[in-house]
Parts: sequence; C-alpha cells; structure tokens
Amino acid sequence: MPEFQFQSLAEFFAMGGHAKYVWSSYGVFALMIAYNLIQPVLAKRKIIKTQKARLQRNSS
Amino acid sequence: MWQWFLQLGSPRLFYSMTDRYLPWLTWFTVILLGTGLAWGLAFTPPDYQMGENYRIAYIHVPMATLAMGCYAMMASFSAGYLIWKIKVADMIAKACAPIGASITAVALATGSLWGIPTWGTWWIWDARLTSTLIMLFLYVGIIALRSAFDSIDSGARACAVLSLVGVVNLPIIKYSVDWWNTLHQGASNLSLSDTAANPPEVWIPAFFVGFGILGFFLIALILRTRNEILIRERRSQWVSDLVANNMKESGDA
Repeated sequence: MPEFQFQSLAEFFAMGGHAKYVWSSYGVFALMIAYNLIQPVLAKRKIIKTQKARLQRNSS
Repeated sequence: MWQWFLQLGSPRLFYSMTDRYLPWLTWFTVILLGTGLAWGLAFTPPDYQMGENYRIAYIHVPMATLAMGCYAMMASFSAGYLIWKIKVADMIAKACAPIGASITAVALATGSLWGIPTWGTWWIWDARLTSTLIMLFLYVGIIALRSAFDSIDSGARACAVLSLVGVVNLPIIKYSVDWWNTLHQGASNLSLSDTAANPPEVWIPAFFVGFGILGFFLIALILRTRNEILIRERRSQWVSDLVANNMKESGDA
C-alpha cells in the first residue's frame, strides 16, 4: 500500500522547498481543465438561446 | 463495430450517442484523475536528485504526450474530411485545435516551471523545446486560418491541408532528444524492477493520470464537437426539436 510521504500537511504544501514550482504547475493544469470544460458549456447555452429566439420569431 | 463507426459520422447520431457516453466518461475521468493526482502528489517517494520537484512530471509528461496525440488526431480527421468529405470529421478536427493549443501551452509552462530549479533556466532553444513551441504555433495558426474564411468548406479544406503539412513536426518532436544533443532528457524506460530509476511505484500513478487526462480530453472534444453540430445543423428539424424541448424544461415556452 502506498504511504503518505510527508511528515505533516504543512510539509506537503511546502513540497521540500519547491512549492512555487509544483503548485503553479498544478494550478496552470487546473485552469486549463476548467477552461476547456466551462467554455463549451457556456457556448452551448448561448447557442440554445439564439436558436430559441429564432424559433419564437418564426412561430409568432 | 463498423456500423457503430459509421453512425458517428452522422451529426445527429453523434449527438445522441455522445449523450449516452458522456456520463460514463465523466466518472471514468474523475476517478482516474483524482486517484492518479493524489497518488503522484503525496504517495510516491521523492526523487533522489530532484526531490519533490519531479512531481511536476506527473502532469508535464501526459500533457506533452497528449499535445502530440491531439495533433495526430486532428490531422487524421482532417485527412478523413479531405478524402471522404465527412462533415463530422471536420467538426472534430476544428474542436481539436483550441484544446491542443491549451494542452501544448500547459506542457511548455510546466516544463519551464520544472526547469527553473532543475536546469537553472526556464527556456533554452533546444530541439525538443523549439519543436514543441512550433507545434503551439501550428495550433494557433490553424485556429486563425479557420477564422479567416467566411465559407465553412473553404476554411475546412485550408485547415485540413495545413494540419497535414504540420505532421512533419511530430517525428521531429518525438525523436529530437535522440537526433540532437538536447538539454531535455530522453524518454524514461519503464521497468518492473524495484531498483530501477523508474520503479512501478513511480510510473503506475502516472498511468492513472495519463488515462484520466485522456478521458478529460475526450470530454472536452465531444462537448466542442456537439456545439459545432448544433450550429451547423441549426436549420434541421431535430435541432429545433431539441431547442423546443429545452424551452419546455426551462419553463419559458
């Protein structure tokens, strides 16, 4: 079974003095994931809204 | 199998089929990525030379691999579009570009962040880094090229050709570390031995992260492709029905 490699949570966040590099890497990665998932969801909402307006125009 | 593949070529069937797959794909991704990242960040032993800094590799390596995989995929679908005129193939190729660009950017950024303490520099014009930067420019160029056309078909053809030309860059990236004397290290060997430089306890979590990231990539790709389908098929009956249903659900019909 893999064991937790750090003595404490504080040491985990400190990453042996490399906190800056490790956490900014994971941060950039998280931002990229968020952007690629949120962007299409917002875009879809906009498309549906535009099409709704078009349908309503055509039916009235 | 063939039948299933052909169905994905129809925009409408692609839309309804991915409706069914997306929840499964999401669970697969969340579980693999969650396990892999936690494991790699906290439960693998530190590297004897790089200390904790090597944990960046758990995202840098899959990002760089996927950046190339995404390019190969975009070029394959571009070829599919040019040869068989499959419209969905072009929509998938179009969706690949922005995702690939952002993944390549993260591969470069995490590489730089790793390089500052390890190499003492965030950038060097070494063959691996330079060819990867060229791939980023190719992605951005393909996005720009498409937006320069008013006609969907002309834009699709131009982008397909540029994507295919850019494929020459892929073997250059892959073999740059062997062909030239680069600062960037070569590919690591995977070994089952506990005494190897990369024992299983180090690379098994990397596989979890890798497949999790692949799942995320497919989700992002499917979401973008579905949006493109909605836009291009907006005048068809099934999209109107879908929008009408959506109106009923949100209660403003």
